Amino acid sequence: MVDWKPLKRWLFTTNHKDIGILYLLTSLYFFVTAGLFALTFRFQLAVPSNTFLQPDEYNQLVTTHGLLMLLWVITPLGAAFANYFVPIQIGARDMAFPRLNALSYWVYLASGMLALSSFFAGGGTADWGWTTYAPLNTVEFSPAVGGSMMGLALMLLMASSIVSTVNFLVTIFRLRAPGMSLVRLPLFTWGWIFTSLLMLWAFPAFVSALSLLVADRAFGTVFFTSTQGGPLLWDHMFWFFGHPEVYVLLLPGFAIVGDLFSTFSRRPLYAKKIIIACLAIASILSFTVWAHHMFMTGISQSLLEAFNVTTELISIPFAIIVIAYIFTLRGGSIRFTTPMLFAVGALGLFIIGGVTGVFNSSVALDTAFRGTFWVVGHFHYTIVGGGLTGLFGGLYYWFPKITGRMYSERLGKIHFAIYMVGFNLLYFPMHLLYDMPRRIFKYDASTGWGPINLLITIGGFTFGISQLIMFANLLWSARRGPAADKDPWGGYSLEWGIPSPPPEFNFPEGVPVISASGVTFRPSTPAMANGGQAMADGGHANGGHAYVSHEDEFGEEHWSHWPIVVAAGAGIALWGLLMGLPALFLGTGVLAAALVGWGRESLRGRSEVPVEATGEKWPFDRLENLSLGMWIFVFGEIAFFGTLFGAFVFLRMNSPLTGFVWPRPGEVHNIFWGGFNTIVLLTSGLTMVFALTFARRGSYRGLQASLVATFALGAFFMVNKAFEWNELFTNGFTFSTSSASSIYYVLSGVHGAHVVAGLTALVYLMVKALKAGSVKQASGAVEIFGIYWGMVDAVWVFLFPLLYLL
Amino acid sequence: MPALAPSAEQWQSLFTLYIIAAVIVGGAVFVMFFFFLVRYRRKPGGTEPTDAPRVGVMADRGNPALAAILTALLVSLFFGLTLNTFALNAYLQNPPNDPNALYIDVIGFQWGWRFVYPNGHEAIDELRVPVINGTCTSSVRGCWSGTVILNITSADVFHSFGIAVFKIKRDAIPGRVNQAWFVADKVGIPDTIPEYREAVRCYELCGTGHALMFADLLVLTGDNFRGWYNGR
Amino acid sequence: MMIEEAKYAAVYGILMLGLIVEILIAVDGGALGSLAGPAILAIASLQAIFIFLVYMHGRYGPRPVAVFAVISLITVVPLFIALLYSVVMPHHGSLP
Repeated sequence: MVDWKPLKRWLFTTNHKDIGILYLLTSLYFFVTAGLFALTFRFQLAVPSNTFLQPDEYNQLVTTHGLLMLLWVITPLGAAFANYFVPIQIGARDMAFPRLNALSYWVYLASGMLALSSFFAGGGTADWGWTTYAPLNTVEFSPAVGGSMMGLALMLLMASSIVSTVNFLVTIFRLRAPGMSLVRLPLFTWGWIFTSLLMLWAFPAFVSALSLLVADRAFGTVFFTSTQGGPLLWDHMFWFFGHPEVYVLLLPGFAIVGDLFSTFSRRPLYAKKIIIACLAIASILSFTVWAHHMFMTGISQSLLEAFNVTTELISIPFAIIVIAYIFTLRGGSIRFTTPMLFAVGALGLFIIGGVTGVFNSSVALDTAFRGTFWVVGHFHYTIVGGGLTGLFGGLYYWFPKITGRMYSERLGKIHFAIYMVGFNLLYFPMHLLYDMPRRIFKYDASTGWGPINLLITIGGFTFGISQLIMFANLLWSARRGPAADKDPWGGYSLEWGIPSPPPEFNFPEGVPVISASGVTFRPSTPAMANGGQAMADGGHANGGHAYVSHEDEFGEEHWSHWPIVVAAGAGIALWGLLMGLPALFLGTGVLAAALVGWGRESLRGRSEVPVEATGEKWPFDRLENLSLGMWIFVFGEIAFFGTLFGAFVFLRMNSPLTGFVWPRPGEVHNIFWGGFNTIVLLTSGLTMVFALTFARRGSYRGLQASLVATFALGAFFMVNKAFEWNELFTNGFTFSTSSASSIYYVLSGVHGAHVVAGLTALVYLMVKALKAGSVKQASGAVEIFGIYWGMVDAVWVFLFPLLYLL
Repeated sequence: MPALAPSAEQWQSLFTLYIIAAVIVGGAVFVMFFFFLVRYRRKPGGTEPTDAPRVGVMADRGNPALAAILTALLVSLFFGLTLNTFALNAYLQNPPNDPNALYIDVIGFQWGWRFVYPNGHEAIDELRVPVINGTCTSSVRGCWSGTVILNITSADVFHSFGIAVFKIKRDAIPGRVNQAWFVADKVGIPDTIPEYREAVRCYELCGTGHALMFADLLVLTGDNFRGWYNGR
Repeated sequence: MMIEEAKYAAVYGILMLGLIVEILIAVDGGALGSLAGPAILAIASLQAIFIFLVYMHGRYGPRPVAVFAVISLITVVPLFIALLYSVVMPHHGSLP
């Protein structure tokens, strides 16, 4: 008999630690893949006029190396540690939404597979550089299907990240142990809070940019081919996401460095509160610096000079953090074990990257640096040097906790030595090539760039080979290493107070209670914050069961087979969107079936993680997990629609300058038809709030009637809109007519998709109201859906004037 | 060091200023960092600090004044750097008001550069310009001062026009015209001045031929340039 | 309880009123001239604020949510400023 248990565990787990391990292994797999891509094109560049690679192969490798390393390696590696350790560090038994957590992982994997399969989609994959500049990214200049597939893979990945972000923020804000106030959170968890917030606000902006791109490529809209939109629109939208993304990559590793400095120097972090404040300031500033990627685009000089200043300003919080880290060492007793060596290396490399960053902030020096290897050197020092090196420090640091075994210290130190030599040989000489354009597949010997490139390639292979030592060390040690103590380093975060590896529910001795004198464990109280009331998203908080007494029952339920099926369905559907109808239908069918299965599982009263009544929840004490989750999702939607509105404003304002006459109000769109539809949608908003009132009052008929009315009005809105689109199409106002038609269809289409998603959820809600033991139990779910529906209304309130009246 | 063209010389002096600041500031940080690492390394028989972190506890310490001092220092440093940057930026961004400047339209395409001269002459992948001429002041008519003003655009995708020897660069964007300008200080062709070979390059990935998108620079004496310009 | 419902109905009335005013401005925008666009957007913003405060808050009215919502809005503000600036004030404005 085959033992199915391990397979079931790894495919269906919803345990945050298992998911963390899955993230870890997957991100390391992509690390090796993208690293081999880099070695391949470094080999091409080793000598002048090399013919090892064809130009198109080179461009594809450069592009996918960048995209994979940034989005499928470094962030998920941070997410691996966050999944494993954030719940433990805050004193929780799991994430707030374990199934959504599993979903994030499987969608991440599906998006990665979609990205890699784009190589084989015919014509190769995206070859326009990870920055995907317009209009090279349009069908006219890059017709390959693989490029579109990469776009869809990126959208899928963003969806995974946004779900995960909502999950983490709810977890960290709502599931903290008693006494675990926000300032007591370890620096790594703080780093992850800011990483999550940056993802929450920056990733939706990328989704909206990708929506325009995919619409251009798949439906023939004209955002990046028309003169009203064009390259500058993409530049702004992309870099508005792209620069916060840089800090998404940096912060997890950079925060680990702080924890390692404290642990291994045996000193408390110097000025921890100021470090946290600096992280907050840097996160906000990171949304105001992106145009330093556009210094040479010839846009308003006063604007660019402002961005010059903000870019300099953002280095100040980081400088303060660096100095605070260094001051942490004072008076310490530093042990140079492998994690500390990597932390020291990360800080040293980050300082170099930070200093060259000040050069890049200069709008005048950029006339030489823009588009050259200097920039490549700079950002590898920050992202690989500061970010990835810190994450590798974390890998060694937490290895004993995850596996229960020690790695070989000697091999770890050898890895570090070769890593540092390889790194500096690889990236430092790039600064000397500030005349050499990046992303060129060959150069002539007469340029004189040959010797330095050879040195860089040698450094690259050294750096690559050093990772083999790490893999060998960790693979061997995971099986054969000596058993690790509970706390081999003397760490301060809670994971060092529990066994290695941690048991399924993290805290076998009871709920951790934090006070100024340390942590104690107490057997938990049965009461839960929501008093056994049904939780909305179908989660049923096992009302009445004690926090500990249902441990076994909860353990039984620590898995679900729907997340992996949902992810598979989504992946196949997107693949089919480009590759053929059978796959599209199959994927959509699987996805629909899986969502129904997920919903039924929720209706059966599947448990979500119970909320510890006495835990710390500031500042969201008065919300429930699901409503906070919905609110956080809405915050992300603000960034998503905000960026799309930005695109509208750009196109609209640019029209007179480019000689395009935007349709006057009433010229193309029927104001009264649109106004009527607005009334329909706003009325459905009213019936939705009445549904909540009826639910609270316990009136079943009232609830059901208002839900049905909401559904009917929403459906009528969509039908009405379908007629409207049909009318416009017959009148010759199609996707590709103009930038005005393009933005009309994308904005109203994206909003329509939100309405359809809402209608689907409404069906679930009606079934739930039907089945719920008492109507009041359904009120939580009604309230959460009400938040979503209100957002859909609020967005339309802007869309109607933008599309019909201006 | 050989003499540089005016734009490159100005760039170089700003770069040197930044290098000096970077070496001083970065060097000071590194010295402190390594000093602490060595000074506070664990010694045999040494004891742990009394406030060493343990599970659930991290003592609060630190002095906010340090952050304030650091901010003040960096702000004043950046203030100096920024003033110099803005001055150079104004110089690079605003072509001089020179009646004897030569205007050239630059059109990037996949994959090459087309240069269109005022009299309609076109050249592909060769940028011919007259050298600086000190006697051609603004009161003189019918001569080229050596100031070259480029109106840069693109016929297809996003390119970026750069001449490394002059340290000038500007994106070549379809639908937009961006300006850049320079003065060439040394007469020469690629055979006599190697830096002029493939001196004009594209600095934004623009497709298959990105690496091959370059043009040679030919800086001619006023007479030679006139001969080429009129002879075509 | 009835007060709640009256509040919802009142907001509905305000939303409808705003809609009518918007349409009137758009159809006969001559009176307001160049202010017509900003006026319409201001009305839309007010409508959205009412939906946010009354329809979306339910029984909670938690201030942290409002704070976060404002921060979310602030993150996209720089984008609008930059987009407007880079269109309206190009450095080398001319087009081919």
